[in-house]
Amino acid sequence: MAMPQTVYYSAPEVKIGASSGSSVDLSEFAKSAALTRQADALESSSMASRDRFYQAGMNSNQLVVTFNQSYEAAEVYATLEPLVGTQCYVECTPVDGAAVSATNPKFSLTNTYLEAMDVLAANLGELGEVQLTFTGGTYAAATS
Amino acid sequence: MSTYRVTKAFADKQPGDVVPAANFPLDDFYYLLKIGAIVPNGDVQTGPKRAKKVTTKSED
Repeated sequence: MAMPQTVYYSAPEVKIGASSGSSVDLSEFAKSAALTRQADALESSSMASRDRFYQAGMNSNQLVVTFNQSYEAAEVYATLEPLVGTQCYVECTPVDGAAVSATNPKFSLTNTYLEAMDVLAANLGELGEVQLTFTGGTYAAATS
Repeated sequence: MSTYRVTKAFADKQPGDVVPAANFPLDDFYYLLKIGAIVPNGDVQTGPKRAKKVTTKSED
């Protein structure tokens, strides 16, 4: 039986900025993106059972994204360097250029924190890349 | 009113769009200007407008 699959022939749409109104489309530089929605597990087990149980605590959401580095205006370095040490906005959709829908949801983190950025990461004979981790923030998934 | 030309896609704007500066919150505007996603469109007012010179004809 054929199973539905999602194949990424190109990067998903990735937008990052100081806010949603200024989030710059960096899809053309993205090599990978992983947005994780996580709720901390608080153990609520008791002696009434031999099973362990958990309930949700704080949310610990995260986006890890890798870009081919570019130092041109409004590209990777210029867009991201001012955001280091600030709360910012990121959004990703599975299919770049397609309308947001139930089958192409827009995932976002608002007020997510960018702690660090490698302003230079050079390896002989390789394209420059930069990997960023956005931590925390409020998660949302929009379908329209 | 000063307008700015979009050079890099952001939010729902595409390169080539012309947007009034007044459409942005101040923080977004400075950020977009700093990173080069918007550039002045040539009609940016950088100082106070000069008062129009008024001349009156002499009555005599």
